[in-house]
Amino acid sequence: MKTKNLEIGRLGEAIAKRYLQDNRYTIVAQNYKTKYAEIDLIVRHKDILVFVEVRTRIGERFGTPEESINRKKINKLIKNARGYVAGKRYNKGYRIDVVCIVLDENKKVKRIDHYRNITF
Amino acid sequence: MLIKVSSVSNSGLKSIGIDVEVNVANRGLPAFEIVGLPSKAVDESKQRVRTAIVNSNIEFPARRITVNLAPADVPKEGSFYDLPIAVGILTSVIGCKLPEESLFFGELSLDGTLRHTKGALLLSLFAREKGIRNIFVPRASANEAAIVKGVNVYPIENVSQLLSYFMGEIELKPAEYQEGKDDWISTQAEFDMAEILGQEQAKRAIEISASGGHNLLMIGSPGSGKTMLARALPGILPTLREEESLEVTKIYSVSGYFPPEGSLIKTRPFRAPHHTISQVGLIGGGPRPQPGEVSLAHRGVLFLDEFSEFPRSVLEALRQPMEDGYLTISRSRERANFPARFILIASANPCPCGYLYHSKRQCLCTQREIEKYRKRVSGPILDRIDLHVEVPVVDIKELAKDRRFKDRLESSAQIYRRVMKAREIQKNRFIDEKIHTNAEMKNRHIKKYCNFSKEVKQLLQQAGVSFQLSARSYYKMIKVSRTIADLEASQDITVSHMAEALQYRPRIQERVM
Amino acid sequence: MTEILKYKSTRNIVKSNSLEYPWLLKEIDHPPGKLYYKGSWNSEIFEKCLAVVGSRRMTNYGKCITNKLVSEIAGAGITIVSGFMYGVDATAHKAALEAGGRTIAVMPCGIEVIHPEYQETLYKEILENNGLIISEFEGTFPPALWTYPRRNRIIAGLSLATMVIEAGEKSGSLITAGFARKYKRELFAVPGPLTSTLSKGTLQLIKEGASMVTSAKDVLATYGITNHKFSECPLQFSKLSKLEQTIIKKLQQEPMEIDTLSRLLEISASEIGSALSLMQLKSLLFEEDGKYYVN
Repeated sequence: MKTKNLEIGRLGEAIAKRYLQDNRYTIVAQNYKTKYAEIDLIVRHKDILVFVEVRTRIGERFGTPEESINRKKINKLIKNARGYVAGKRYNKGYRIDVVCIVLDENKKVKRIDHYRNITF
Repeated sequence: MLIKVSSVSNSGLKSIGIDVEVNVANRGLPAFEIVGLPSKAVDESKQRVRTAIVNSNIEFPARRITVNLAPADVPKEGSFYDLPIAVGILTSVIGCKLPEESLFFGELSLDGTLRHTKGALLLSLFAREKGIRNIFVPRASANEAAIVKGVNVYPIENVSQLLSYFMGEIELKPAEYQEGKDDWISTQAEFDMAEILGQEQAKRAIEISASGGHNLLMIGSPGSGKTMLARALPGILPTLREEESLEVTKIYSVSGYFPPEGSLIKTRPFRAPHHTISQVGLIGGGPRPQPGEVSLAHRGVLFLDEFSEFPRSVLEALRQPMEDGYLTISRSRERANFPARFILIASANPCPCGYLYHSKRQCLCTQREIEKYRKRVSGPILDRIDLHVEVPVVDIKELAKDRRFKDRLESSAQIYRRVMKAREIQKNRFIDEKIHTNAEMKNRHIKKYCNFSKEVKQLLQQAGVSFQLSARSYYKMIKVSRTIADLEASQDITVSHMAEALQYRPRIQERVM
Repeated sequence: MTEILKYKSTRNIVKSNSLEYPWLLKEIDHPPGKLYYKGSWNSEIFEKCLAVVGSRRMTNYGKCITNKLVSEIAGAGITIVSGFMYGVDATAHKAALEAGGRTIAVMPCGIEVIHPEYQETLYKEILENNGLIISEFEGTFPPALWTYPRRNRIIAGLSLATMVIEAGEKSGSLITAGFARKYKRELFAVPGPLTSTLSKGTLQLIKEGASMVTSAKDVLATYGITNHKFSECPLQFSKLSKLEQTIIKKLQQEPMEIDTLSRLLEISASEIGSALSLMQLKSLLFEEDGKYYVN
């Protein structure tokens, strides 16, 4: 079960990556590991660095992917982003996005939504 | 990029200049913060500004935005910082130039339009005082701000319109200067004096009260017409003078009772608070001092129906404004001065059941109850009421039948003319003084302006003994007789003037056994 | 409290076997065994007593009449006895004092109790003007329903005659009147308008044979005073202004308010008001509850 969830997560990240590339984002890093956690995707759009969290679900019967993002998770995302920015001595604008992906039973994409700048 | 937008902060009836500093940073996580002691309403401005900009089809910058309201140690209150904040953000994003010497003021609606905002008049007064040429206010508040001469008031419909103006795409026309017109517009009263049958003495008392600005107490049974008389009073009151108009408009502007699109208030206010009013409601107050009913009645009428039902503490608080014509509200953070020069019209029943001295119904109160009832209003308050009059119950049906009597009834317009004449005399008399009416005279004014012969003096002294007048009542009688003389355009106070004034002496105390 | 103590030193008791005990009171069925009193006891005060009783809810008419009759009677040297209640009682005491006469208040409670308490000024005035406060109850004995009729029997018993001014049906004043009749004393009743509920009792008394009072002379005759000169100065009509004459003529017909006068005479309220004030100061008129009366 655990591996299955991980598998779906990886699948979702791959879908998100392709989706962002299609939307003219440059991929900077994938599954970037900091000391405490992992950042799913780091991309760049014009001169802004974007940290992307990808949420994937099969079906929405047990809750939408959007619902799984709570305050605690957002704070964690902000902390990770800050850690990255500090470590890389980056001093321009950055933001945090979320990409929510819902798959059907056949692992086909049912919908994909990109939420920009969620901490604002 | 740092942008400075000018606005004001209103405290009481005073304003201080505020710089709204907006900084849109290119670095860091996007955020929107307001500093400089914002109240909840100011802080919530973030949501309104953001949504209004987005709904005006302008992209809201996903940057780190910091707004500082300087000076930072003055608490900021109100919703009118919306516009300066929005202007600051937009100019920094678009990079256009702000017009010089301008103040911005107004609350934003979520759809980007500007709403009627209280306090616009204070803004334009501040602009004139500081020599600032342009002010930008919501369209609904423009007439209010345009009362002040020499300031360009730009009425703003919505955010995009303002932006187009900044970009030089459109021209804006300043609102027209709203001057006080001197045409005969008496306040719309609910009743005309001619509609009131009988009550000849009470009507005369109302006329004297309107002429000299005297406070009036009416005592009478339920249904005798006290309320009707009071409500007919606005119809005979003179319109406001220019400076009075401005004072009244100012108070209404900060209190938020000012109607959208409204302009200079020219009619005298008539306030009739219910007797369950709290002290703060009547006097004013609150953590941020707000004007109360006494200030809203400034230069007008404060009608307190069922006078003795008002809590004593509330009535006692009337003493200072009645004496001084203004009051100071002090709170830990700030204090404010509000003017409160009003004509008090009070009405009360003669006893708890109301039917004492009634010709047809019997009073069921015991002497003790009556006494207790009378003591509810304190002596010092009664002392500050110049005119005391009894309002007997009138058999209206019988009077209505009498044609001849009805023909003799005077209309409000007729009485108004007499009142205006008396006011004119007072205006000339007090041209070098700070007071406007006879009721405001202090002892030194009385000595200076109230001439009367030896006989009048004797009459007054005799009355003082026979009617047991207090020292204060003595002066009240002189003031009232001065007004009666003015109504007849008489230079000196004669015996008959004084004798009539004595009709309105306080009688409550003498009745108590 | 201090006031009560001040008078306490003068408190005294008179027993029924004492020489000083009023002889008229001894004649009644159950005279009180002892009388507590305040003030200076002087048997002379009991010589010519008139009881004046009436309703607590006195009308303007009642007040007027009480003032007029009592001041004339008391001025002629008659002691006014009453019950210290508000209304007619208190007015009678006051009028007697104002006329420089003497008055006795018979309390329904102990003499230390001022009941009703807000009439403290009157209480003191009675004592200061050689009046008496008496009661058959001791010290601070509280008033009760049953003490009132007992008090009434003393009022009637002390007096040669009893005058009732305004009494409703079944009122306490009628009880006093009943005692007076029982003790074979003279009974006077002042007539009032038929429409007033407060005339029912007095008119009933007249029907039953009480003497009708139309002036102070009627009462004074009982005491053998027939040639008393009232200090009344006749109205010098010719000296008055025309307006004043008209006003007096109108008011003599019926007391009325300023508004009514103004309507009837078709003169402005301001002019009438001015005239009325002056006439009042000349003591031609007096005002009571908004209505003007000719003095």
